[in-house]
Amino acid sequence: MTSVLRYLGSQAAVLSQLCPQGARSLFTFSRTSPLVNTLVPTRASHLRKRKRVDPKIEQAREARLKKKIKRLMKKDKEMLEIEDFYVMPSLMEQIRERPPVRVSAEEQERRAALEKEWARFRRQQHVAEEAAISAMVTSQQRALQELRAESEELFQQAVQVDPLLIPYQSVGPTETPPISAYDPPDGKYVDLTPME
Amino acid sequence: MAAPLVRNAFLMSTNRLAKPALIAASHAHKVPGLLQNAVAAQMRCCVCGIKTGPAESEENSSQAEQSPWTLMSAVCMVRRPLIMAELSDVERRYKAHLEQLHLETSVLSDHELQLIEEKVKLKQRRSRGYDDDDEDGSLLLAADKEDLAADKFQEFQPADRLTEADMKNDRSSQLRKLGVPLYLLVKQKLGDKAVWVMPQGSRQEGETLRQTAERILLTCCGTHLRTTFYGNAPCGFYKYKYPRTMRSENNVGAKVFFFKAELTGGDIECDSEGVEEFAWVTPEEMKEYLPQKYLDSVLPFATCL
Repeated sequence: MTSVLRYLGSQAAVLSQLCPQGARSLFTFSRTSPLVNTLVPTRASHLRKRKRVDPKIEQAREARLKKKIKRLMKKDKEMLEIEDFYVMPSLMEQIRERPPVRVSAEEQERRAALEKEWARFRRQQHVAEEAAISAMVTSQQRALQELRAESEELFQQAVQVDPLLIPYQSVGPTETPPISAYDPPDGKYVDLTPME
Repeated sequence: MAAPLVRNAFLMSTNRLAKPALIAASHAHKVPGLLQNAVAAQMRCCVCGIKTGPAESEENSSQAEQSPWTLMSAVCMVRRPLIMAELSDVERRYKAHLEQLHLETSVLSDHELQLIEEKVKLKQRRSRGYDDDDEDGSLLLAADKEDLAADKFQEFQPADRLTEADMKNDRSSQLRKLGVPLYLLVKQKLGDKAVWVMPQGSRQEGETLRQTAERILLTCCGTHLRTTFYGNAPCGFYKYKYPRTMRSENNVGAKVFFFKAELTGGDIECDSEGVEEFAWVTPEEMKEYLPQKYLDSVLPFATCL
């Protein structure tokens, strides 16, 4: 205990020589009890001497950094070209413009009515699909419930993920069915057999 | 089962910390009066949180032995559509409408430009009287190209959308009605009667229900069918009681679990033992074969979508 006090005291002595007002600022003494005189440092700072930096140079540095940040932020806002929207210049030529088609008022009415009819049709389809999916899910949930009631072991086996099923691949329907034993014709090719 | 009465959590924790050994050895806490009679059920002690009563697995296995229902698996085999369904009237009209719009808002293609050029040139030649010094004449006119393409298109004969089976209305063929999904029904002997059902059979010891389904398919339809089962879980459920003559104490009826599978190739080889005949039918046609209650269980997953 006394050695600590002596150490702290010596530090205070050194600092007081360097900067008379500094020593007081470095060590503020707090007395925890009147019986024991303890020196508890409540603030600390660098013991090395600080260089006198010109505030103007510092300001200039900060300004430069702020400008850099601004420039980067602006770049972020710039929108990139979407490659898919790029149209070949040859397609934008004047000669390619189609002669405009005048659509009569009745035709326009007919087209608008057809669009509405289509929207109605697609909505009905969607509602039917949703109902079918919901019925399928309900049916499966009921089956699993009944299975669990019968046997916990079988239920746990049923609920396992089938790793062979995923990824699932299926070939979709075509306009016409496949021709049995179809012999496709040769396509265009470059014959590279070496001539002797 | 009554929810465990959670006392002061602090009390519970101190109890556990204080005497874990005692609790493990013999459960000393007295169960409150109401629950004392419920010995068979698994209860949680409201003081220390330990589970009392017979273990879960024991209970289940005893239940399985005593269950009066025969567990059966059935296979809902679907033949997916091979061709696009017939377009409805709205769809056909909208398709034409879209094609017209796309044409009107497009630019002229190279072929169309060539056609226009040649028209103009022909006019000029006509006016000049068909001078035969045609310097810029290309080898192949656009009109000729169109004719050639049309001829080539005629050479290819696609298969008919309406097959032989459609003409004969042969329900045993899987190539009938190619635009809609078809489901397999078999006339199976269950008990002493032959009934139209989806192929079903009872579960044997040590099998999962899906394995049962796969085995049933092999026995009913032969080994040449190639299928993909849609996972391990059943998609439907149907319960029926045996006729009174066949019923007994531990054999009341059967619980059928349906498994959906897709046909990827091959033909059915009918085993005359269990299966008399089979049919590939649409959900609407199923009404002619299946009783209403069975249909109610099957239609949710055997849809026309």
